[in-house]
Amino acid sequence: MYFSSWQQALQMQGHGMYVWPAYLIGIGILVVFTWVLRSRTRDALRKLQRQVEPSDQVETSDSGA
Amino acid sequence: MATNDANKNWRVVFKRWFHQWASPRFFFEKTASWLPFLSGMAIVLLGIGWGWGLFWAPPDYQQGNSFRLIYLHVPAASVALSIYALMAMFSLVSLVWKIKLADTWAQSCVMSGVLFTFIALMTGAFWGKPTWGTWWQWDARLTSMLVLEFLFIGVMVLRTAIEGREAANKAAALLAVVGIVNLPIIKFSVNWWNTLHQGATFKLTEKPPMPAEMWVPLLIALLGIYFLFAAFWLLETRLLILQREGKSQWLQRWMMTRYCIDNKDKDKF
Repeated sequence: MYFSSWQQALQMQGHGMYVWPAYLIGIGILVVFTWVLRSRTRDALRKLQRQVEPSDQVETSDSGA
Repeated sequence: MATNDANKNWRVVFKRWFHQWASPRFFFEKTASWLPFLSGMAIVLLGIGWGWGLFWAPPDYQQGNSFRLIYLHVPAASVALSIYALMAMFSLVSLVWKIKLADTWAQSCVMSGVLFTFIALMTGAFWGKPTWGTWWQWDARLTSMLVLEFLFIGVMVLRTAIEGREAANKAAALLAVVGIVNLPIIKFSVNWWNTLHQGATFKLTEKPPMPAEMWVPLLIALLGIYFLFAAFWLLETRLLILQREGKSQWLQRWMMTRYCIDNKDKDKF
């Protein structure tokens, strides 16, 4: 590691106050976007599942008759 | 004569290949297993690139440690420009050949474009303060990147502001195609005008102007961010197909086999 301690890595000779917030905000945006996409996908799958389930039941009762 | 036949064969093969991929069903089924690979590559490459750049790379002799912002700033800016070019290309395909899925592909680029451009602008501001003494300057490179952000937002807003999906898609596609003139302006702004912004970090014809321990992690982070965008794009495209093709029989059959037969894999996508 270039820095001799974590404290030095955090401070980066006074530049840490610019570097770390930028990375935190940037990575935070990417993580939130991933979460939003995945939760919207799960919602879409659940909606589709609800559409499929009744027709599945109808088919079963038809075949039974 | 033989060359003509060979060309014709290639054209037929390409046309068939293109039409196959332009089918929502084919695309949805073929790309089902791609997401874990793309996201896994993104996490590994970004972990190595950012870890190396933040903790092991030496500081710049002029800019000091603020230079470490390059490992997020340059990949974000580079992928934002590529996303715009891709979105404009898909929009042109959807306008000229009226291919439905091309419009979905273009739409899947927009939100990623907005976010990566914002990250490039935000990290640029954090880098500008210790280097230039200011968060923002109405400089050619910065202003043209801001215009890129407004173009992405404009395309996104047009899709929701106009009534009728077809008209909205057409308007958004037109704006995306016209806005492509901004890309060479961004790229060459540092050569055409006097700017505070430095020139290109990587050039295809020249050796990078920094030691390998500085540019190798940058290259790794750059690759990682392209994998991340590919994962976002694929996830969003598959989501839009789910939303748009919900009533089609093939998707309902896919759903039945996935959920009604095997309930163990619930929520797996």
